[in-house]
Amino acid sequence: MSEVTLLLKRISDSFFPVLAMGFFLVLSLTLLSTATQSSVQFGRLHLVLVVINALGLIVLVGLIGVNFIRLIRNYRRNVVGSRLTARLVIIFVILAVAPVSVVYYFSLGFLQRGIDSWFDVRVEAAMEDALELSRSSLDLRIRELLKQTRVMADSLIYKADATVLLTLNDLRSEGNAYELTLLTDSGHVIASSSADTTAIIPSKPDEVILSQVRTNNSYAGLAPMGDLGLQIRVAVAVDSVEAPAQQRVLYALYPIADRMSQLADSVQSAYGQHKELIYLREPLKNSFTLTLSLVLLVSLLTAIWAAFFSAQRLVAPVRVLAVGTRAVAAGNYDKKLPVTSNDELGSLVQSFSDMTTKISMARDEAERSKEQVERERAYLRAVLGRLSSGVITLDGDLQIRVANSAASQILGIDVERAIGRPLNVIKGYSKHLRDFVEVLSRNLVMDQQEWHEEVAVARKRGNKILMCRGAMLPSDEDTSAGYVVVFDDVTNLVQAQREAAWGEVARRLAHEIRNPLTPIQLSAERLRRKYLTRMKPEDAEVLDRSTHTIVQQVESLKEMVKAFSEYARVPKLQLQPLDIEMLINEVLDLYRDDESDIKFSVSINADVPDVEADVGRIRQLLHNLLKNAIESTRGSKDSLISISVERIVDAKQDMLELRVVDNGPGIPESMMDKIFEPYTSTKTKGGGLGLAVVKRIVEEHSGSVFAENRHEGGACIVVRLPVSTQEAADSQGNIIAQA
Amino acid sequence: MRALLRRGVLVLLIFLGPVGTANAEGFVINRAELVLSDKVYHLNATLDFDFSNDVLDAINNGVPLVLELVIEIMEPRRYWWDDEIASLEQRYQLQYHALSEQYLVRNLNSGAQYTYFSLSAALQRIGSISSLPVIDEQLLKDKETEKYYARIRTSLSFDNLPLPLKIDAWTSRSWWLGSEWIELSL
Repeated sequence: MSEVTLLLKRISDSFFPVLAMGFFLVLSLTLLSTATQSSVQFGRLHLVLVVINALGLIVLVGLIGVNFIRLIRNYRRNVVGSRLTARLVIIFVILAVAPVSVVYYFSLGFLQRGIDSWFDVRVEAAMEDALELSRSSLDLRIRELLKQTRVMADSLIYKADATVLLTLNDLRSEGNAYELTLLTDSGHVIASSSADTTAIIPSKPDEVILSQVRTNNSYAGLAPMGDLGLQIRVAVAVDSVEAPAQQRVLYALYPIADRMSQLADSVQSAYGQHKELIYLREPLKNSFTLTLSLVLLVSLLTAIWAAFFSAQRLVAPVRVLAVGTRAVAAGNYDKKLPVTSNDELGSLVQSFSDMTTKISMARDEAERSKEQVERERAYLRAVLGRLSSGVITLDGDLQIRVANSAASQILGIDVERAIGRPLNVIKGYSKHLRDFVEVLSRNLVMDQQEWHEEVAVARKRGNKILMCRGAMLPSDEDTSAGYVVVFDDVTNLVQAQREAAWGEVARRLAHEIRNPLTPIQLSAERLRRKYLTRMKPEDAEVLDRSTHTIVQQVESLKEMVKAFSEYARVPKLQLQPLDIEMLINEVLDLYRDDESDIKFSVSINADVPDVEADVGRIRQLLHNLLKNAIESTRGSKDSLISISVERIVDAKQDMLELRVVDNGPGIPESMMDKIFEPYTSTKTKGGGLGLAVVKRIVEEHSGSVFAENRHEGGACIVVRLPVSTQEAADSQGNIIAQA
Repeated sequence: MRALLRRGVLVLLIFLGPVGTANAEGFVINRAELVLSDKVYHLNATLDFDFSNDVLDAINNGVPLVLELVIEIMEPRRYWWDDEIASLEQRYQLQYHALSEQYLVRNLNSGAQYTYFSLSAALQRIGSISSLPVIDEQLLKDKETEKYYARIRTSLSFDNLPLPLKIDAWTSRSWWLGSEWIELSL
């Protein structure tokens, strides 16, 4: 039910104007064609209809003109669908015009020939002949009546005017006349008798008849009397005895016998109509041609208009589609397309809408997953960035794809610069990394699933030990998807393990050796005390020397054990603010004596911060460093030991840097990374634990220590201690305030 | 196609209307007067009918023609068309009778019919109007102010023409023979 109403609505929405106009024009054309054929019924309506149709034509021409101009404009502007519309319009117009024109051409021919065929020369001649025959037949009767009237006139000669009416009455009834009138030649009626008793005024002959009577004494002729039919009128001159000077006229009207009258009327009307028709032949042709042309023009123009209308309707879905396509091309998937029809084109538009909706959904999905990937990547980058291990991933061709900041930090170069370039590029950044790259390359080329290897990377401050672990990345295909290499700086770990081992050795040594030493010493002293005085002088000398040596060596061993136990000891630090300048001067005082030719120089920067430190341990540190420096410069003239203290920022941390520099021979390169281990001294004298203790004290204070050789000769030991947190915060605040 | 073109021109002419009526041929009112007798206005007039060749052709081929005489009594108005108070129409049918070779004139108002041997006689008869009662004086209420006037015009009626001729008549100058309006004082 609703579908039916919908259909009706659609038809009335779209085609109603066309239908209404078409219906109206067809109606008026029908009326026009009827009016053309029968003028009686329509009369004036004919002209009105012609005008209405002509107006309809003008409206149609206007509509078509507007459509045509719009189409041309759209065509020039390349508006979507205009070309198709133009083509459809041309096809429709040709389809409409061609058959209609043919029909029109032949109709026009038939019309002309049809109307011409009504008229025949023979019919025309027959008409003339019939008229002539009627006339001659009537002439016979007229002559009879003229004779009869003359006889009547003769009988009136002697009648007096007063009694003439009676005579006229008699004569009329005798002679079967319709009306008899006696009048003077000037037209004055003397007496009149009529068959029509209601007629008051008698009919009178006109001047032409009277003058003819005057000259010929008589007149006889036909008189068409309208409703009374055809009559014969006769006028003859009458002589009167009563008025001899006056010419009188007897005027008689005779009816024609019914049969005769009918025939004459029929001939007259047929002749008249035929004559009129011949005369109207051309106007009639024109009139029919006009009607036919109007019909043709109206149908043709309606067809053309309908062509425009239906072409536009047909093209509408195509235009909608084109608009939709452009919107999709511009990336707008949300444009809703109206479905204008329920045919194949309409369903095409519907499908297109569905397709764009799906594309739009797919695009949104893709964007979501892209965002997901981005988030994952950012997450991974954050994780990698926070890793303390260096991570480098490489693709199948050993090109660096990802490197985290820890990798740069550990390798001491900016690895991120090398992303997207071959691994070998790293060699160019630092010559120390050659071993590292080679180990990596060698392992990666072997395509092992997993591998690990330790690599020593040479550095200015000794070797750095890297633990590298590599693995192949999983891949879908046979080709290698790449590799991941993770490496850690295990230098400190290795160092700590070595130190722990030394500490254990020292502790055991101290424990195992110290115990027997005192009995040995006591025993040696007892031997000396008991037997030295009793022995012979030469034996006594041997004993004296031997026990002295034993005691001395035991003493020396004790010293060594003490040093070991100091190294192994893990005392509790007693941190307190340290005045480094005062401490340095206090320690130096012990070494300044006049006999020594060693010179000391001290430079302490004004902005040196206070540090929290165990004063006793730092004093020992200074002692050890100075002893070490003095040892290394021993034997050379102009020995100079300079001590400098300043504030530095290392790895964003505020540090106090203490440098002890000598002008000795320096540290051999081979010793450089082991100088802080026990018993690695180059010196002939000394326990070999001095710098090891220094290192331990520095590490107890969370500081760092390293040695370096100077270009101008001599070694330099650098100690860095972190500034106490409170101090650091203050100075940080100052820096910010200054900024 | 030429016929079509001519029709097109013809249709156009319908809208343009007659280009002019002041031709050599045409109807002229030579003399006209309104005479008051017995409290009724009577018209005396002489009309001169001069037919064009087209119209003569038509009448001689048996086409009946109707001649009209229109008399209107008008009241002038300011700023507006004058008001028509009363109007009288006299119509005469003129036809050639082939059998009797005479011209028939029929007064369509009265039904009276006359026959004439020549066209000029018939036209002269139609054109001689004497003592045609027009309007009773009583009907003119405000006669004292003398505002009223009459106007007369004679023309060829197209309504009674046969249909094929009608379009020709409407579009051809030779059929527009009507006279100008002649104003008469009361």
